[in-house]
Amino acid sequence: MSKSKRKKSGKNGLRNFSIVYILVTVFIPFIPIIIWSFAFRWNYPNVVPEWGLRAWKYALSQKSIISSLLLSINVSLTVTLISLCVGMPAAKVLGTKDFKGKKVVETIVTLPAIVPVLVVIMGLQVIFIKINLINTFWGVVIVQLIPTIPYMIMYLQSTFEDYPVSYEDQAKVLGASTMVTFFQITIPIIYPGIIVASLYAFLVSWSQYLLTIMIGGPNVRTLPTQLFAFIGSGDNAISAVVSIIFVFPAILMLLITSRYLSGNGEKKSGGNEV
Amino acid sequence: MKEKTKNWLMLSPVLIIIVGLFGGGFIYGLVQSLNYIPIIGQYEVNLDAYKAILQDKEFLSSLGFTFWIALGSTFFSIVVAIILSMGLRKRFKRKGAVLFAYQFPLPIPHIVSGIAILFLFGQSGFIARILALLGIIESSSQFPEMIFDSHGIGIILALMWKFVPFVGVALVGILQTTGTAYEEAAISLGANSWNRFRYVLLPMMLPSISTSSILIFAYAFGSYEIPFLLGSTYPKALSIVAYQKFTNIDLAYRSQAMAMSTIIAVIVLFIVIVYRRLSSKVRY
Repeated sequence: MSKSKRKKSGKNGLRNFSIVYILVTVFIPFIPIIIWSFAFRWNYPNVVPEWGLRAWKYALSQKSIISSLLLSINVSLTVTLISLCVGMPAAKVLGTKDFKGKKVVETIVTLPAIVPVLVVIMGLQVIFIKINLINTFWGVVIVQLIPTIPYMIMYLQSTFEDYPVSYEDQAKVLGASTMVTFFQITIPIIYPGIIVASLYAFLVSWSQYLLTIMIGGPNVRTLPTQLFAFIGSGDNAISAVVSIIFVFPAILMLLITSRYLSGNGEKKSGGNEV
Repeated sequence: MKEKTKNWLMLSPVLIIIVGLFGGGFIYGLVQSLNYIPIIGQYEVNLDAYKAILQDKEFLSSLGFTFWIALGSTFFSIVVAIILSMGLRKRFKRKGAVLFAYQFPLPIPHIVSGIAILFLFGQSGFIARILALLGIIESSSQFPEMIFDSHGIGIILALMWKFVPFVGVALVGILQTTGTAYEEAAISLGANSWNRFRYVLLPMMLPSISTSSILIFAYAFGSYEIPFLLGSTYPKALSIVAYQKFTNIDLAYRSQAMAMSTIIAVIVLFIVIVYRRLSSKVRY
């Protein structure tokens, strides 16, 4: 009796430690960012700053930040849409069919998610200069397909693995065209997968810095490139505000996906962005 | 036959994009690392760039430093993730909320986790301020150097902030779906808690741990943003050195930059291949 009681409290001890560890390590790092964003001045060693909305006012009135935000949204939406369009057919084949060479295709498709983009971006920059895609919107969009397509396919493939292919055959037997089958059978069945995959792809694109700066140069100033510039200039308050704007879609995504993922509870390892 | 053609037709857009961009960029970089750079009039192929960087002390210390931050962040993340998943595997009140908090760092961009660590652990950061308020340190220089330090502590912490949930959330799921039956069987056979962990629970987690550790190691090895924000001037992470050489106004350094990125690629690919070999042979 006493032994089992001791064991129980010991286990709860590890559990309580884990809960406290998670709450402390996950949320405390955000506190200085939030304080900085509302700081007029925050000299060392004060724990509390002189409050002020200077940074927020500056950020929301500064054209360069607003246009960067809009450009980032534009780039990431375009990248997500393209990778969805090319990724869906490929994910369907990989998720529903068995064929010779499937393993090779899977390896090729997942390679950019494993190998750092640094190793290809230098070569690509030289190529993009030659074909006049350097410092252009489309150059950035094209190069961002490299990291986004693997995540798009990983997520959609796992969706298609549970997809009842026979429904399509039945629709065809009943005389439905390919288009009708696609929009009335395929899409309604897999749309939760499409949403989750698209959100991840959007976020992968949204976070890209190195690819964007090397291909977009000074012309394509997305939000992360602005953020780096502010950090470099040493203005912590503005950096904090831009950081908060920058993480907003990530938090939104977490709320949406936890709604779509709850229920099946299991998570595919490797599907997350590292 | 028709089916086969259709499959490849559906796969082709993705394959063209990935092979074209990823393969194209890699091969172009490789060719340039061999000093074939017609733009500046170099047409002969040689290994000068590799020879130069392998004799360069800065490169070698960067290589060692990069291995340290990649191995360190991977190892510590796995240890912490295992401990947390052991703590969270059973049902308890508000588990959903705790798991939501656990996953929270996953979608946050690395740049922001770097900035968070910078504001928190810098010598005039939030923790230093609190310690000063409590009278534990008198000046900011007494706070241990964790950012811009030569040991890469800040870099490792920032990477771990995202890596721990990346490894751990899946482990909680695995232990949760396995349930307690195996463990109870082990208890009835007289296994103590260490043996239950070592021979029952750990083997179930290992496949997932090895997959995710390869992914995080590879990421850490080539990551640019976090070492840029939190790294010291010496030694620098390999990615930083390569980028600086690449953007040097003297184009002659370009081949060295490409050689470095080729070396990074070879190391990452080597690790992936070794892992594939091991995971197909070893049974846990």
